[in-house]
Amino acid sequence: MSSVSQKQIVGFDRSGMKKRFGDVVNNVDALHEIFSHLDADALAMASCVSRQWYEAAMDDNMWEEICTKHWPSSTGISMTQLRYVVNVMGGFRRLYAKCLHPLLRRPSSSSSYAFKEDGVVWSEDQVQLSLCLFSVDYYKRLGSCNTLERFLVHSVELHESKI
Amino acid sequence: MEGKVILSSSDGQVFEVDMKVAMISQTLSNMLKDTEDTGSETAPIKLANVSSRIFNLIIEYGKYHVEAQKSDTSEPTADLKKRVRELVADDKDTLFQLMIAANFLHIQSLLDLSYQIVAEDIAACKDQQMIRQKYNIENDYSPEEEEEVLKLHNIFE
Repeated sequence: MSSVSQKQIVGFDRSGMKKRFGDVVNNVDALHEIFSHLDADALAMASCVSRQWYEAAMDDNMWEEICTKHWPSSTGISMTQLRYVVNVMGGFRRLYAKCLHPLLRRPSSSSSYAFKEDGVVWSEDQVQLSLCLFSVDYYKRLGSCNTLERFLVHSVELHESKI
Repeated sequence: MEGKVILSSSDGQVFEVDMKVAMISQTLSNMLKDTEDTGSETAPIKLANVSSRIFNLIIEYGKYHVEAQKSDTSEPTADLKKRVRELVADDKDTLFQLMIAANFLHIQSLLDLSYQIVAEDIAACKDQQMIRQKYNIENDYSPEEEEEVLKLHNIFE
């Protein structure tokens, strides 16, 4: 067998992973993969670990995934439209923190962090209400004198986009 | 493809692996197909980046994977994930080395399961300090900054 030349496979960079992957938890690509399996609470906790983790955990795509994962398929809102509006108003992380989380607060008895649950679907009303609260939050921050008027216009727009 | 393929680990140990098991690696699968196309003799393949210890685990995983594909268990992913947990015996360094090997050999299913396992372990930590200890991560925040990020975190509480 020794006469047969040996084939060697060396190097691994094709999937964009760094060679020093040995530090999985210091590798940006690996962190993104890992964090995509975390629920909001665990992701928020992860952002407090180090600067690098913070960078990775604040990626708004991750929060978009968390926000929309449990939405019913029939919200009737186009994702492109929604993404645009949410980004203008502060991003999905903010949407979650300000408006979805308070609606979904777990019973105080279960204080531990949970692994992202699959299969839970929120009601359409919850989604609508959270989006309305988000616009209120946004206009409050704008602090303009026409706040209420703008809010109403916006609510109507949101509602129309739903129909 | 039937038969066996001969592989050797970085530390020179020689393994005879079922073709079906070897084929879960995209890297090996591509190589073996090339060999088949050219009709050349199957030479032993040296895996320059994989130690015999880790390669043993990979082969075990490969067997489970092939088995899982044959049988129709209701929860194939959960079952495989449990197997991987057993293989690495709760040792994060072993898990990380397994991930490096899975990445190198392009075994996507193993890599995905490993990511899930790390995520579960992170989620099981009670706070960021526990995560830092578990994974030897340096806290590079100044006290003021840390207070700031904790405040951000606390909007969830």
